Amino acid sequence: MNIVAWDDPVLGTHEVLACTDLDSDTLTMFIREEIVQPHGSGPSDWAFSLAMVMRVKQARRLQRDLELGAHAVAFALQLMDEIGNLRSQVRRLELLALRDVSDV
Amino acid sequence: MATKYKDYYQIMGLERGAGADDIKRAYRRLARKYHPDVSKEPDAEERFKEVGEAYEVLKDPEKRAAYDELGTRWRPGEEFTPPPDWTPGRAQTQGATFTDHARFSDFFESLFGGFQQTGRTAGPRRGPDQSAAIELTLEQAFAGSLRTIELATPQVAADGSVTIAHRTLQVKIPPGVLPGQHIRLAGQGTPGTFGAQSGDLYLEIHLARHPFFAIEGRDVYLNLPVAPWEAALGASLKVPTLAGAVELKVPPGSQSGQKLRLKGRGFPGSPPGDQYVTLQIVNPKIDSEHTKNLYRTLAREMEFDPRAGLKV
Repeated sequence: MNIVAWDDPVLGTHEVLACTDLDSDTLTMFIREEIVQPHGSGPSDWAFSLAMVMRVKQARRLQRDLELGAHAVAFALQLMDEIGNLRSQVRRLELLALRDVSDV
Repeated sequence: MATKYKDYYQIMGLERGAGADDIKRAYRRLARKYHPDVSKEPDAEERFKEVGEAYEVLKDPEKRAAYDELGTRWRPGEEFTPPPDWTPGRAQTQGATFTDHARFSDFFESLFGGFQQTGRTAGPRRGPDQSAAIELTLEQAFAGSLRTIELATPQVAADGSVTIAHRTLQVKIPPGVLPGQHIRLAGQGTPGTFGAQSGDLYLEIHLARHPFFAIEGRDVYLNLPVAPWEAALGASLKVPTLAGAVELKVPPGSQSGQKLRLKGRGFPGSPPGDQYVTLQIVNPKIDSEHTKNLYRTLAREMEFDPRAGLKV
């Protein structure tokens, strides 16, 4: 059973295409739009982490279900990241209630 | 087969005479609202499936005409059996754009006779990926664990009948997984057709609520009850962390709500998270004349007005 760490770049281009059911042109377009930035210089040595694969799958769902172009997908993901970061920030502030923190 | 009737026009918020542009506009509006990747609505996934199915029918003139032939005899949710002269499989699904993990309803299946993806010729084809959620305790996510999960996988026989196969998998959860992350089990998804490889299984990590820890990102949060004299005089206290108890020095003169940080005591990572401890001063129960007198002495001996700033 193959278990990979979330951030380790362990999947090659061929494997990512197989598990996302994408064609290589669309994957290349996603990479050009910086939706994911795999390690390596080109398709033959690109290496993707599992986090990147889930990102590609999410981009594919948005592209297909919302009928978006790759640029719009990239923009939507950027805004979704921003919302996610803000929600996380709100939760942190709620948990800390805006008081000074001392290191111990 | 009796199923529940679905009013695709009502689901899309459309009149029966809506044009193709109206249908597309309604779909895009509802898809933006309910897409599970975007929406925070509690029933987003269910609503999105409904909308996707309605769009699948209404955007296709052939399927829409077939659906319209049914007329307006049924109400949504009413028992429905296709009319006796209905030919199953007419206007079969072609060019489905709907999301990969979705399934159409029994109502759809009863009308259009099964989901066929287009542009695919019969032959070896990798099985679809499967997704499942796995709930862990905070301790299991922190330290890693070995979990046994049961999966139900639909299997299509040569005659097209579908059975559900149950199987058990042992999954090793690596330490430090966070909620929303996925674990990929290569080749453990749905079997491929004609001997092609199976899809992958993705397990999404969910965390059970913890009785005293909360987590945000890699940071862990804890409210720590302290006695008034511990806060006033300072104390060295035992504090739970996910890696075990540690000594925490509470500085003299601490106040309720004060935050202390145990650096690097959160979830592992680069860098690791921190543990934030919020002091909560808890008063003892005053249930004897002796303890009352202790407080009376304190009140008499100390010149302390906690409301001085309010100028009353």
